[in-house]
Amino acid sequence: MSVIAFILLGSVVLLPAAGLLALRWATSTGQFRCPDKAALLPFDEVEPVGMETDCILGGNRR
Amino acid sequence: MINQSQTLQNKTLRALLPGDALTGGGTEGGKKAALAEIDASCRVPVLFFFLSGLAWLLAGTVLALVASIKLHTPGFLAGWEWLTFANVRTAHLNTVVYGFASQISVGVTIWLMCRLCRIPLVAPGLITVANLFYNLGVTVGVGGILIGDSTAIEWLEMPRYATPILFVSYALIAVWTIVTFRLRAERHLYVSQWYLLAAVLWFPWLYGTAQVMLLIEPVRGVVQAAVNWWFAHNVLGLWFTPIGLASIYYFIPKVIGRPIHSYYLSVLGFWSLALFYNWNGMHHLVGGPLPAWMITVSIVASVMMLIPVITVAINHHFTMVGHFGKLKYSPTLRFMVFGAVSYTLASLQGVASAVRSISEVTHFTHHTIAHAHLGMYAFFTMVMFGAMYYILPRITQREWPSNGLISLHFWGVALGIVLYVVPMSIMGFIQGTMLNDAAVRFLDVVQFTLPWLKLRTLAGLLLAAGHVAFVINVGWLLVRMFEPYRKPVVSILTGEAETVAAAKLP
Amino acid sequence: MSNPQESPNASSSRLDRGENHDVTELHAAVLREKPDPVEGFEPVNLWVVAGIAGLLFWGGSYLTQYSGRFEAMEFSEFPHGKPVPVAAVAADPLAAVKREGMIAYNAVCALCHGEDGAGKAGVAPTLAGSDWVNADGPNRLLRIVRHGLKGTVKVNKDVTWNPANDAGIVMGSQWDAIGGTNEKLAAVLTYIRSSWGNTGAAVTPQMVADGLAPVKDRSADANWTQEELLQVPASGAGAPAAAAAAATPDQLKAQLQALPAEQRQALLKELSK
Repeated sequence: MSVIAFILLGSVVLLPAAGLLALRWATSTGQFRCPDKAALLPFDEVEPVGMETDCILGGNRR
Repeated sequence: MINQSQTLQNKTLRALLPGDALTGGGTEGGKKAALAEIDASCRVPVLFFFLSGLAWLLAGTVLALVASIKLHTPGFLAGWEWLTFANVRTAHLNTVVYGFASQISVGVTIWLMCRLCRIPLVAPGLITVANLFYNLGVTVGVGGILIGDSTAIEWLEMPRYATPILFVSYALIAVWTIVTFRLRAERHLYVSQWYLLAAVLWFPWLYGTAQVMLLIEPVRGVVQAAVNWWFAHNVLGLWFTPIGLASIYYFIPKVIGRPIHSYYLSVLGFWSLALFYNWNGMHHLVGGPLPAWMITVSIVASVMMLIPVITVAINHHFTMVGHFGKLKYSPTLRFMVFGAVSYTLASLQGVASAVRSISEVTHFTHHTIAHAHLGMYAFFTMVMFGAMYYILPRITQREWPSNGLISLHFWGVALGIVLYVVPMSIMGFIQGTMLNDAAVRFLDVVQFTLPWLKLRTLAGLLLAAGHVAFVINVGWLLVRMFEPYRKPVVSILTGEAETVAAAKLP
Repeated sequence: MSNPQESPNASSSRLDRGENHDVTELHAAVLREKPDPVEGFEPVNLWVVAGIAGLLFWGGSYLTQYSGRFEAMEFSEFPHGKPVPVAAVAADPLAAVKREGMIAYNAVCALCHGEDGAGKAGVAPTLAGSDWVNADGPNRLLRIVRHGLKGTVKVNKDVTWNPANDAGIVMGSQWDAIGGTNEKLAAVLTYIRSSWGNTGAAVTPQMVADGLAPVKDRSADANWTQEELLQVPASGAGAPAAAAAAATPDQLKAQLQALPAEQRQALLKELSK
């Protein structure tokens, strides 16, 4: 039981620490700095903003 | 020092990538890959995940129907001891959670991760092998439940001999997903990647902790119940919910061609979910013999879930404003928007029934079951259907064969789940007030539920019809994949992506 | 490969969709999006911020109020019983004491005497409207709780709450069960004497201390009997005094009638002042 307890207590410390490190990493690499750029990430030159994809139903639509 | 070792590590990892995908020079991630190239690299593993997930969906649907019928007609299949209600209901939960939902999640995660990292999938072969072992694990686990080897711990009923296979194959998949992320060509992270990465890391932590504390080295007394509900609630909250939200955040903007309304809100939504969801589980034990503070903390955290839920709801709604007409033409959008609305409703219902005074009524009634299906089906499964409608044509380079089947699928499951959740929520609430009234006999309460339970079987049949329609459509799509390429009747892809397809496939 | 426009057979495998539309139409979607350049970095609405602040405030206060002081062994979100409305507290200064007494009573005494104090035939006598409970002082009641009671008990003249069988059901000492302090016993007796239509006055811890002082050496196993208790004056310091022993209305009446006529008249006159 004691080994398990140490593992669990260790994870209790490590997990929030990992979360905080992730947050620090995100701020230091500028993940929160330019949200305008981040919001455009699903788009690229082939499928730019304004291009609708997945028009299947309704037959005669564009 | 650190930079050097990181570069070295990246070089080693990059050697794993196929061909000239990452030949770009100075930038860390290398050259961005074309969409068609990414889709092609995902074809085999993602198809495997989707197909085996759908097979488990059909199995889970049959088990669910049997369980549902048994609740109002106890004589149904009563002669088969491995199909008792306890076995069937448990097998249903485990097939849909581990067989269906988790596998579709992994397929969607892999594809989204590659698309947003803009590189082809690393080691698709290994992931496919891991998928085969994962399916073996689920088969052994569900078989074990049906022959009576259930551990009787909610959401962890699979016998202990099945779980190592599941864990190891899952770990393989997760490791290669993270390696893909590590080698990304796009430095900036989209909000979906936050959710996906977190989910991929949270799930083994949840599953591992619960396995250790409940099965390998069981803790004693009420702590077991606390760990059990912490796990069961977090599988929904920290595994399925993030993947569902990641999909919505990607597919709604992608389909309507418009960026998300507010990226600030999406960041706030992610971090508040990460902060609060983990505390929620204990609200299942309101009234139980746990220290008052544990339950109170859980209730407060459950109410705090309003923050991520409302930010997500605002964000999705304002992204959609002015584009609702598109629902008519895009199956992906239909399922996604249905799922997004259900997410808000399910969360609000969950917040309400976490509060002590309401939990007193709804606990131990069918209300909880309706709530679980609102979250797992109306939100998560619908979003996964939507994602599959988008991903499958792109990885197979074929169009959906039948629009009629798509409509049948959508209306079958949409009506089915509404017919399931709304009456069951109402019935559960009435059932709860009857149970709390000492003057009402227990048998009267049981008899009151009977017509509603029959209605649930009807709803289940509608869901089953939708599932069959979808599976037929997917099967048809696969048949087309092995036929010579022809011009599609109606297109969903851009002309450019499909030119590549035409050139690649015979 | 990755750039299809360079591919020679690009136009031949174009889709019908692309063929049917001219350039303007193809770009209509792009053009329509132009008036919305701020998407993606819309600042967070102030109402949302205010709502989040309100939620956090609520969370903090709920946590403080219902967390049972974060103690590991506190299982109820109301460690002192359900709160009594303010108006009721103002009207009854003893509300807190009665609530404390109710908790102990419901946990210990109610098993036999019932939460409504009605008792159970053959097991435990009624407390509601009982002459024992409504006596002038608590001296007999506190002895019963302190050391227990055995044998036949006569309540309100007629009703005999005999044990159901010869083996007899004995009420043992409940002193430890209710908490073992003068304050707890006072609270329980105050609750009993003011509930279910009873009209006895409140009992203070000092009254309990005074009442138990003469019997402080008595063993907890030495249960009282009805006869023994009737020797104890209901009120006062609780020392057995033969002259004042009678306390029930019956016995008082009997004693009164036993006196010589003139003496009786004088006593009644004096009492009626």
